Amino acid sequence: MDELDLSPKEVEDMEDELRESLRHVPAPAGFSDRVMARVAQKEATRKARERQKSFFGGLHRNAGVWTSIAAALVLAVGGNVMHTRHEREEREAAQVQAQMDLAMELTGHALDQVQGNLEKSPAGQLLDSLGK
Amino acid sequence: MTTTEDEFRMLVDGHSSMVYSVVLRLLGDPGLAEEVAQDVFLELHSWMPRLESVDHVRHWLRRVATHRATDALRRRKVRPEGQSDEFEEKHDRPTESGGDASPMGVAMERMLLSLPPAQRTVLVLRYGEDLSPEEIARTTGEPLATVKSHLQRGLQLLRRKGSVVLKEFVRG
Repeated sequence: MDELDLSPKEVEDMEDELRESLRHVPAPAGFSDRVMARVAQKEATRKARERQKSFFGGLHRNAGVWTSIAAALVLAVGGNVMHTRHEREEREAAQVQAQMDLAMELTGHALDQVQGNLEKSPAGQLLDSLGK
Repeated sequence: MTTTEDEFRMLVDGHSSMVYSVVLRLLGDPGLAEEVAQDVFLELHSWMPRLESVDHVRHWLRRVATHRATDALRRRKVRPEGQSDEFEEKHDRPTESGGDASPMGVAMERMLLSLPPAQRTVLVLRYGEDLSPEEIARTTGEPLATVKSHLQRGLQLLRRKGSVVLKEFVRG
């Protein structure tokens, strides 16, 4: 400080000047309004986020219920698919059975006709008389 | 402390000058100072439940304003440290205190802005906020010895920079 060539009085005056220079200045006009507007905006964002969180949080809290519903849906859809497949297989089996019955009936008719023809033929009559 | 919107507004009204002044003296840029000061109050709003009294709020505001202004200085490099040893007289620069400062006050503001941020901070808190070195240490989070060192070096640098100018003003 000695090298500065300032007397104690001058140092004191300078410190006073420093205090004077660093006196508080008022914040710009409308400062509080702008702060309050930002606070309101921040609060609105926070509340919206909380609402969103509570919605998804609710989903999370009721996870058991939602799992049960999902499982029931899977079972219902799966059961329906199985039932439909079973019905289709039964229907196909019935069709095959009907076709089989028809084929057997046709074959029976054909055999009856062959037998009738054989009986009416001379060879058939001969065999018939031999048999009697 | 729980506050209603009106009570919080009263806190803002009551402390805006202090917060803005601290930030402005550290940054030297009114626009940036308002932005940082607003951020400080926004942060205060979130912290209110954890603050216990108006004194606690004032101390918290002063501390956070100092830290946020220092952060802004680092981020924006408003005043790079490398240039701080030289006193730059910028006659075209408007005064930060709004034009009603004396010529001596204007010179002082400019000299303050030319100091390294750490020294400027302790000088602003010592002479602008009338804090003791111990209170400054609590506010900045620096050791007391560091604060005293910054204070002494800051004053020396300020005196050296302004010895000629100050003599003219002090001696009339």
